[in-house]
Amino acid sequence: MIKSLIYKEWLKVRWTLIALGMLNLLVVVSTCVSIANAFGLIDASKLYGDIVALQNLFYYDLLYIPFLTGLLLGIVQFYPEINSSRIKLTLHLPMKESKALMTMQLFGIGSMFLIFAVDVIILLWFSSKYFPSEIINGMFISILPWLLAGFVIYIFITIIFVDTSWSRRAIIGLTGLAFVNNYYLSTMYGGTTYSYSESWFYFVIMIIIISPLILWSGNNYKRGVK
Amino acid sequence: MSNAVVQVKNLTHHYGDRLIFENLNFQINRGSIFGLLGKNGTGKTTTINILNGFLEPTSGQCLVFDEDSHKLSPQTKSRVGFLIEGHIQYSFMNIKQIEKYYSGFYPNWKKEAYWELLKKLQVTETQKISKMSCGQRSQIALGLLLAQNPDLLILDDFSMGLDAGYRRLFLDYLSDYIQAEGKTVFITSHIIQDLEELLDDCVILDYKTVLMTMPIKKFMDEFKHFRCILDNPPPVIQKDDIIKNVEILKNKTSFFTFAEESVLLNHLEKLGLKHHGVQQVKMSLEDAFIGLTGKY
Repeated sequence: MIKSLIYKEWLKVRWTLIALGMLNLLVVVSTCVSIANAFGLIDASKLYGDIVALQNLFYYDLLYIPFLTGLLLGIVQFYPEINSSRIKLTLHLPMKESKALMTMQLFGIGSMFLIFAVDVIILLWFSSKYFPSEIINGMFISILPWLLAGFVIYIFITIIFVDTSWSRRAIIGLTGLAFVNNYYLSTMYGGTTYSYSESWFYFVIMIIIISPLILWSGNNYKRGVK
Repeated sequence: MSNAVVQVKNLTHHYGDRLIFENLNFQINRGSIFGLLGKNGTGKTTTINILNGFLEPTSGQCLVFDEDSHKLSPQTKSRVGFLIEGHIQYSFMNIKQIEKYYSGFYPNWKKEAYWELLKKLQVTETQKISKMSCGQRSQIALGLLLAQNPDLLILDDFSMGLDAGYRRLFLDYLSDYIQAEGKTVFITSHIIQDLEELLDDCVILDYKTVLMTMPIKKFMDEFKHFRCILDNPPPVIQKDDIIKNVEILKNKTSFFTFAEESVLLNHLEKLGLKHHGVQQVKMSLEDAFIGLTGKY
């Protein structure tokens, strides 16, 4: 049954996933080209200095891409479900509603994880040709919250779409934006290293905590609570 | 084992302060075809939503295969086929994909039932559902239900958006299936004319109230339409226990009643309504439905 549900989700979002994957790849390749150009034009020690002392980061183009990825994937995956109440078809399937909803959401999270993993692997692999491992570690810690922000907005979108009440949707939406804001508190290299190297673990925990809230929305849907 | 597939007990529902219906009671027995009839906005889809567990009633209880409809187990849900109003399905899938998708959920999936029905349509296997007409989509939805082979079919306004041909095709397949397999069907529709030959029992809803619950044959035998000319027609004739509805058109007055002709005429005399030219008018189910619920 889970296999069938994943099949449906794949059919629904495959073109969007491919487009988002391409967008992420484009930005990552463009970042890599920028790094290569910078090292071609400027002395490496000057660039290291910029990164560490001036908290400059080469990955800024990626800043809102995970957010955009999560937002669009959430909309494309869940809008067809609430349009004409199609979610009733899913909730009527002979499986637990909680299992169906969590499978749908985990499919989205898994898809985003794959896209972001490719981003990170390419970026770190390419960066390792130019930067020492300490700087790469700092860069990774710096961009990790941006990637996690993609998951956060995706999860909030799923919760918003499954819910039935516009007032609750508005509250969930505002809460979601406040949550996402935490992941963008600092976008600089050095500062992010200090502020996020300790806290990324809590960011992940937050995602794990908010993810099952889709079941609360699902329950509201089932009760017809406005 | 109980013969009741669906039991609705004292069901009442409000949306906010607005009462939809109060104390709705009916039972659907195994192998019967049960119609929930009513004009738009009388609570048909609300009842279906409660029955499928998509809405918690304000009060009362709804049991499907002896389980609370709001807590149906996966096993019970596999025994219930559900057609959403407007034949809604996944429009991003094509004919083949949707059959493959649903087959993964039902161990007794009868794919031949689906493909046999689809042979009638001038469509290819790879045609997307979003590119199909409403009539074609209705056949996809019906084909999927037949392949699921459920014990109880819940059809929410199957006739919505269908022309006469597709309505007939839908009903022909449905009645063949019901007769062959001994299934139970719960059906709502706002087009009554198609259901006369199909239904065994029905509930007729009006705004905020239940007008009647009885076997369709009994309803058609006992509910009558008498037309006469009143000598001095009053501006308004009140409904009561005998006069279920009254319509005045020019100089002719129509009385709808469950009472015999003599009882009605005596009643009119008591009300001081002098009349002549009384005749009984033959009614179809649609006529009787409108006679009971009124045109507005």
